[in-house]
Amino acid sequence: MSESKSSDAAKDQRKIKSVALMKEIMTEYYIGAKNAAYNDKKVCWITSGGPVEPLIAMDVIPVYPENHGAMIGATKMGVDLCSRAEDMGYSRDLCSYARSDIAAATVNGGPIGGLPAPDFLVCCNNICGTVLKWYEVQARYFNVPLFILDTPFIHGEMTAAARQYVIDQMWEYIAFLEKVCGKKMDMDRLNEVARLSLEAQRLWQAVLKRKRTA
Amino acid sequence: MHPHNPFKNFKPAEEAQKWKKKEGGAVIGYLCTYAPEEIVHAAGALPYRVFGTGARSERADNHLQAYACSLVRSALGEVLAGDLDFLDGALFPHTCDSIQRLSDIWRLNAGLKFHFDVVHPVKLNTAGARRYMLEILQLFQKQLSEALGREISGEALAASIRLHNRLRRQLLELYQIREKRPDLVSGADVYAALRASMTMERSAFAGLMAGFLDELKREKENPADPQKPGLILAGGVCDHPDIYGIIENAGAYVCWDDLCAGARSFAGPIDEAAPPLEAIAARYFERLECPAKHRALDSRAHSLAALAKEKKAAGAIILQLKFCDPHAFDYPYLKETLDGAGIPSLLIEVEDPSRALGALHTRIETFVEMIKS
Repeated sequence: MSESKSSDAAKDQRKIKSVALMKEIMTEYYIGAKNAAYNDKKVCWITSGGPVEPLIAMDVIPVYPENHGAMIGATKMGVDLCSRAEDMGYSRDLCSYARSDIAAATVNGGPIGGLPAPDFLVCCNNICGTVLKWYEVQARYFNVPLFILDTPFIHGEMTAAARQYVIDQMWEYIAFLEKVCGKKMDMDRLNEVARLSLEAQRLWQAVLKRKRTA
Repeated sequence: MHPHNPFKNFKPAEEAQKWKKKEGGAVIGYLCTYAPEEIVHAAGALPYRVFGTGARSERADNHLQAYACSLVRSALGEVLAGDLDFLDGALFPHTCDSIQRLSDIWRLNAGLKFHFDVVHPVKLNTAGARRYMLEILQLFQKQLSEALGREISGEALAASIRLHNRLRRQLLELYQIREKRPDLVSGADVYAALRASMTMERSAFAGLMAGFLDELKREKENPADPQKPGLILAGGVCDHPDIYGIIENAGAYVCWDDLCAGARSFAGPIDEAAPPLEAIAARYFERLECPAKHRALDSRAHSLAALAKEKKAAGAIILQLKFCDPHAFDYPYLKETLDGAGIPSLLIEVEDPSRALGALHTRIETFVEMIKS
């Protein structure tokens, strides 16, 4: 009896308590995303490495197809969806996140009944070149505007040309958002979102560096 | 008696080494038509396209995952095996993820003297991207000049552009002759000329090609020639000369293509009136893009359908290199567009150019039978 009690206590100590809060936040987020249209909010599908701060500043709900691809894999729903993608003509050798997402969109598949349809798409290729092709497919499928943030690959040092090119595109991104959202970007809000984002990253770094006690 | 094709028995590696011995110039290898070969030529160097023959891939296994395409595996395999020791360096324009990463693996393992990365923009439809493209071409010119220890003058660039425009016009002419007279110019003839145009010293190529074209143009009209159905060959690199013979034996012929190492390589002249680097950049923006680049959502499909209609092609054969992601992602919408335009198509997946395409005889024959009826 006392053995199981102490092992329960030990288990309890090893649990990360903020997981419960994280689940709350994520649930709220997904419910918000699925009900965006009812709440008069816009939904943007964005790549994992795309700058999300301008979306938050514009009150747009960001949705991550890559995360969705991972969820599909984790819930073992990938095999069927990928097979459907192959029937659509997509090679078996293509990225399985992309294949399962492309197929899921056509049948509202996956563990949450499909992602909410995007009002527009933002694709940043810093993560990989595949996302360009994936987002082109979805832009054609959903018939929505696509913004591409092209971050040139750095083989050694970042060139001044690349830096300027990306800065230029951040302004293009803001202009794109103003057009699709029909309102001006509030630069003060953007700065505040960016500040919070940076702080969150610093906190996350601190968490990762923290040594485990006991 | 057909005019003799001067490129039929051309051996690129041997000839490059002879050129190097004779002229003392540098040989710079590249894998993709986004490589600014005009700048390389203007520097007195020989731009040498590496096609990857597939025969030497085993060495690449130590450095690459199994799902890298055969072009990447065999190019790396060749340089590691020492087959490309005559190269002084390599030039890697930004293409797809695989080539992007191959660049670094190559730089660290190939043991060549020079290595250049020209990181083109992926977007080909904004003013900012065009500015960026111009700047990285300027950077490349500077790096190449420093590496080779020689000036690349504006006049040398202009002359190089004129020469490249000339040889691209010649390739276009060859295609036009082949389109009308497949009895005179076979797919294998065109393939040989294309490969030579990317590996041979460029003025030597232009000279030989001029002679070949003259002879071809002197051939009499042949109205009795029955019209074989023409097919468009679409895809990336066509490193499969066998396929032309298979198609010809099946009673059809390739009347045009949109291949990266085919028609796309000689598309669009460079504006000789504009500043050289701006003009080179403009050509990359205006010609039909590779699927690893983005110009519009439907440019490639519409261009392919329009090409098939313009050439009155009976159908299209889409050559899909295994593990080539950009082309594979485009295939479904390409097919949808072709279907919508009433153009029959056949998808052929090819894994490795070193393996024969014999097994495809039946598929191609069946396809040709179908379109003939």
